[in-house]
Amino acid sequence: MPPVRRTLLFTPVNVRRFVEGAWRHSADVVALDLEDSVAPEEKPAARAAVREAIALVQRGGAEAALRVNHDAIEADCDAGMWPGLCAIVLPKAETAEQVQQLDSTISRLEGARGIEAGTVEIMPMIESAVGVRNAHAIASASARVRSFGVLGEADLTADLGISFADLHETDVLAHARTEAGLAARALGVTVNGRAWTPGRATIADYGDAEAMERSMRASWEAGCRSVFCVHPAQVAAANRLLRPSQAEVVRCAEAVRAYTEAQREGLPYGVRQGVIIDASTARSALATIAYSLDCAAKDAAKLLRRREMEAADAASTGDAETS
Amino acid sequence: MALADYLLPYERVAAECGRVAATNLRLISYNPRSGGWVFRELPYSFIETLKLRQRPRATTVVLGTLIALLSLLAGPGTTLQLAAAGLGGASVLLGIVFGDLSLEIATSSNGAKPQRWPLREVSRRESEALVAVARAAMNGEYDFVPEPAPLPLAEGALGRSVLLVPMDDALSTLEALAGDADVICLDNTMLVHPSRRDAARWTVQSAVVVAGQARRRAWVRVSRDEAAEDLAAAVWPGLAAVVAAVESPEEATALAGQLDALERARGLAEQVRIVVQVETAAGAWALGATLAASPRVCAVIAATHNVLDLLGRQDARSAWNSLRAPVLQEAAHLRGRIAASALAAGVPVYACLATDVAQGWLADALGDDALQSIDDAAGVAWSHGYRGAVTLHPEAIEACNRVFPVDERPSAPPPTAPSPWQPVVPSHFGIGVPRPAPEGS
Repeated sequence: MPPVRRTLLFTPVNVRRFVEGAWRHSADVVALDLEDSVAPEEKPAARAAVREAIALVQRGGAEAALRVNHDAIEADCDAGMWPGLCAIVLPKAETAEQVQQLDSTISRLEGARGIEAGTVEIMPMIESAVGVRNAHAIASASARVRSFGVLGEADLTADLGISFADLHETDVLAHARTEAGLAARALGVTVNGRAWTPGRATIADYGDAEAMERSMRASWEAGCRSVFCVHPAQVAAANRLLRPSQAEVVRCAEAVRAYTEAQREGLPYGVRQGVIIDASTARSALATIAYSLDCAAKDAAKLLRRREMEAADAASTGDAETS
Repeated sequence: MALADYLLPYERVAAECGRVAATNLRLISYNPRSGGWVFRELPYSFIETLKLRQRPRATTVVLGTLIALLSLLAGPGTTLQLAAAGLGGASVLLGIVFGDLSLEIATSSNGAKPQRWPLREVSRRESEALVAVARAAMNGEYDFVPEPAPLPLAEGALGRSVLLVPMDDALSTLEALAGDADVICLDNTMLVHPSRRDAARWTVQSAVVVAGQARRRAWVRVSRDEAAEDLAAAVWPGLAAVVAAVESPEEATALAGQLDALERARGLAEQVRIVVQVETAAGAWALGATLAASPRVCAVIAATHNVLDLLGRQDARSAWNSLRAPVLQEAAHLRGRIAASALAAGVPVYACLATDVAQGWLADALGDDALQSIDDAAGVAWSHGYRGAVTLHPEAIEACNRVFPVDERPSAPPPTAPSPWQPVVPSHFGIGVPRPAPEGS
């Protein structure tokens, strides 16, 4: 069962205020960003801030990841790979060689910095036509690839020569998204990404709460298990909707029961509302139930950490006022 | 009379002696007991060796020995003693020389001892004739079955409609043979309870031969976990193709190798083909390479609903396959991708029509317009390049045969003689009553 990582909140690592407040947003993963949200001239300072930021963003129970620059992988990893990091997000992944090169770098740094070997994952993001074409090779290039970012909408539309605004009207990335998603799933890799829904529901449209919820719900139904968030406002909806709904858990439980009863009675398959529940369906249903429990456990753990942090905050504020 | 009642449709007795019969499907032993007959049977696919054995006739030997011992009471050297001793000795000798004949049958069941079937009051010549016929059948030589011959396979003509039938359900098989499906696909996966899969294997050879003789093409769908067992039971003359969820070129090559070995061992003249069922993302992704891996691959079944289900497409179950479909982008993509790979490889591709809807009346599950939905789905499949459909609902066969083009029908000529086959369900066929288990199984 893959870990629960419904939300990956990008946080510019060079903005101290954002880093310090990131734990309050309840993201499952805070992705410290050295790429698009950091201006070129600020990257050296940002790299220097990563080590401390890893500990800061984890205070609310989130995991910490690091998005590196695809053209400065070595420098970014050298600066940012420290204990506590769960993954390196590799943007604009286009070839298996890139992933293998990153794998070598990570292995070297794991050894040098006392990080348990093989624990830091690689999350490639497909954001170009070449990347879509090589999706299977990219996802199979390293055992560290256990999840896979299917499409950066803005970069891919630009690469394909499609207006980003067209995404509001038409699912112009349908083929690319499905093809890359199929490649990931063929390898048993979890898919990060968003399904298309009409309206202003892209990753950049966080102002329309209704459209955002629609998008998150569609993403879950399309099999996406995590989404990248560029604004804290997206996190709560994603955490809530990227998990099995109560109705779904009930449906799955009924399916499992129908199958187990059928097996006990010597029937080849169970039936629920006229539809066959075979071993494969029952296994899927069980996995859904288990994932739902994992999500609940994750939320409970984060809530506990948040309360501890808030209590500590309140105590330190009180101390400051007293002194 | 007892044996005649026990035979299946299309089963013919090729040799019989000493209450043992060799038919075109199996060896049968039948013996009277109080209140009826006791049958034992062994399909040829389960027989590894068959030998004729002769054992001393116990009663004659014991009697002769007793007489010889009693002669000792008659006093030494008397004529009576000599006569009794001679008689006893002769009885023992006769009992040994003209002993009882029996069949010694070693089966493929793990650890099972060879079975002995006595042949009562028969000559050695008759017994040898029976063994010769049975051995020929074990080697797949069915020349002794005069009529009708199995349907010859025409290259590229696979049929429009494929009806899935549980391999362990003889009644469904017989009903399917009475219907209009071009292909009967005996399933030993989803439609058979795991505890009955072994039993299903015992019947598959008979079902394949019967299907062939009823002029229906027979496929067998094998499970991934027990493919070797399924193949060993099913690869016999009359089997047109094996349906398997092959996910990679390596798996296709391995499956072709298994078929090759079985065909050579059993002397099959026709090559058993492979129908690739795509039901996982890995299978869909590698389909192009899989189809190129073996010339045996003759068709593709697109189980798109399974793929979507595994992809986590939560609404897949109520979407494509069961025909209550909102249009899914992923489904369209998958269907197109699978069809493109198949057409590029020059093999036909089959859609799945309501294969996730439980057996029974379609209207019960899909509403009154179920058949219209089937029609519409078949039409969409045809317009997307699909050349036939798989279903487990006999109701859907008519739509498949009508919607998919006529030129895809099997090119073999129709039977010239009226078919002697009747959809009769013999009482022993296991419907509602336990079938007699073969001894030693």
